Amino acid sequence: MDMTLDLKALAAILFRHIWIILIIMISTVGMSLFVTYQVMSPVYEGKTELLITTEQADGQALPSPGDIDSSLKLIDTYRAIIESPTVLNPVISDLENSLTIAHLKQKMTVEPLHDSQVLVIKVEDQDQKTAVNTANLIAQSFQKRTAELMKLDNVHLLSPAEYNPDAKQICPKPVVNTIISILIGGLFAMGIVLLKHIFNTSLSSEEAVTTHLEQPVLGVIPTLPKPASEDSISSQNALRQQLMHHWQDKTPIEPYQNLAASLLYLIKNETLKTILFTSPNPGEGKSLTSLNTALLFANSKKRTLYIDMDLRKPSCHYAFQLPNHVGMSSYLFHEMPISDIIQESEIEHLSIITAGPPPPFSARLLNVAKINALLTALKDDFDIIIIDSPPTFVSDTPLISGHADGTVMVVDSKSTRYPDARQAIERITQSDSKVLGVILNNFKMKHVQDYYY
Amino acid sequence: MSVDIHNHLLWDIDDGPAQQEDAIQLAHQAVKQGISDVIATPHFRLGYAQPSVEAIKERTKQFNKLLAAQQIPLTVHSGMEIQLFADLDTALNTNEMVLSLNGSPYVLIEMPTTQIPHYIEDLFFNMQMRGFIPVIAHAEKNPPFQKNPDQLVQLIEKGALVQISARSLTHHSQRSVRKFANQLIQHRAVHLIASDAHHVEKRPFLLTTAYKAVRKTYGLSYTAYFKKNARLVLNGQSLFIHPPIPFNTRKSWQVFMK
Repeated sequence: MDMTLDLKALAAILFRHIWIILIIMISTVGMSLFVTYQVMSPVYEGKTELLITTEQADGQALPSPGDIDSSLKLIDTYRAIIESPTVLNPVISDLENSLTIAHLKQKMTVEPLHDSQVLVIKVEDQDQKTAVNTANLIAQSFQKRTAELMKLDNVHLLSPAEYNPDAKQICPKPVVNTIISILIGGLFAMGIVLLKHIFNTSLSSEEAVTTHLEQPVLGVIPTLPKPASEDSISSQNALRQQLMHHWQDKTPIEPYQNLAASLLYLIKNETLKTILFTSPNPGEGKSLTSLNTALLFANSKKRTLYIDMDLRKPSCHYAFQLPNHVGMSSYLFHEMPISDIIQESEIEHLSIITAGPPPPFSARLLNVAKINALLTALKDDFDIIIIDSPPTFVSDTPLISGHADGTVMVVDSKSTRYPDARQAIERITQSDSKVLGVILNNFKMKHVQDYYY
Repeated sequence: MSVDIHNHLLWDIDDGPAQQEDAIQLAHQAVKQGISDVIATPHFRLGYAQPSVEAIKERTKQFNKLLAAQQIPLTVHSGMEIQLFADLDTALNTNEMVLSLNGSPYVLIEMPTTQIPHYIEDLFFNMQMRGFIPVIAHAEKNPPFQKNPDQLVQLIEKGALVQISARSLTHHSQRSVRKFANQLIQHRAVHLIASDAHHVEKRPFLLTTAYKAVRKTYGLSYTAYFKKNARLVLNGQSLFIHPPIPFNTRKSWQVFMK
């Protein structure tokens, strides 16, 4: 995969999917807000500050650096004392709840304030009163115990924890959480969009066709509206109902006119007569597209012959409601004269050769010389011959296309993958046939109604 | 006036009426059911029930004279209900052993009840290459098709036409058969309806009854299509079919099996 992206293209891709990105970001923010306010319970903090002084002789105003150093070491000692059961046990018994020491240790932190001799005791709890209370109890208990243990009276309560009804919770923090969720959501969404772009092998736009297939786009056919369901025996015949002359007024005809115009241009300039329609895979719309193209040619008073060469999955007899007991296979496998297999359709100037009874597996080999003879014999009777062939991977197709003047590749903008389409075009060109271009079928037009005026 | 393309109206030739009088009674019943033309199709079973072509044609001629004499407004044409055999295509070509329906390209075929033979595709293709069109008789009563209706759909795609019995669409038939016959209609897998009448009481003409049932359930477009097809078969003209809808519901994963 040769994937090089410049920044501009990258920005364009991201911008094209801005809605996906926004939606993912909004949903992550929503999730984080939900977690912040509904799932996590708020935590409050109680904080006391203690000053530890070293015992100094009176009058010595300034402590020497060595003294401060040793007092810092002392701070560590004090911290250990605070966290010892000696100090904490009375606190727990005073609190009158079933806290263990380990649990209490988790809730509290003891730290010096900026390397000073001030010790800060912080206690977190879901209830602010308990937090304040606990912090004060610890401080008091510590003060008492030092006096007893070290025979020192150098712990001074600087500021006791105070209950403040307006105090903000310390955790969770909505603003921080929101910012983090925006960042994560944004990155995640961009990742998804880029991955989607890298692994997207569909031919979803004209540019995709020209860059990946290096073929001109002869026409872009929008997704046709679903046929109205009527209650009759022919109601399941979708192909028939999507033929141009069965369309309702709102179906856009212009895309087909553009297609016919570009084909007519080619026919005139390159003196083509037989055009073969194929597609990389079945069900990509080659029959419908070729039928409607043939109808347009017939409407413009060109003597048109439509040949259904898809012998194994024939369809045009369904579309035109013609019998299929005699057709191409009768000529190919049973020497039936050409004049006997041509049927007139309900449309003026349009003649049809249906596929005929589908040959069984035993009669697989296609007599290409006979196809060539047929096309040569009919060249003078018709202005345009349109051949609907099997998908390109069927071995018949490259053989038949070798005898047509040009081949048109029909791709489905939603389902055809460009590696398949590229392979299909290679198979056609290898059989010395000319690929005229690509028809992008089933294209999602944003405003189909714009075509109706 | 309608056309019945499958019945056993000729007397003393197969399991149809034994006596001439029974056949006349059946003819009266056919007229009552609004039928103007019938193609009499005696059973042909290679090896043990082989009425000769001459006998059938002779009996038909005899019957038509009789009907004219008794002023019964019914015309009988000759045909056969041929049990499938592997050389059917060559037999049709020589035109000595078997008959198509009223000399048309349409050949009424009774499928084996045990399994669909492997040579069927080749046979149907060769028949069509020689200008004959297979019509599968009372497909709704065939166990292999009941078991796997897509086999029938595939044969339709290969050019076969399907006839179902009028009786199978009425209350005279089993519920399961009636259900399957209706499913076939819904899947556009039926092209002709015929009586398969054998006996005035046991297996009577029920064609109009069946057409009425179809019209009531599905509407006029269906009956018009079936009636027109029977007429086209009688006249040896070609008919078009609607695309059959496959029964297979496992299609989505079958895609991966390819």
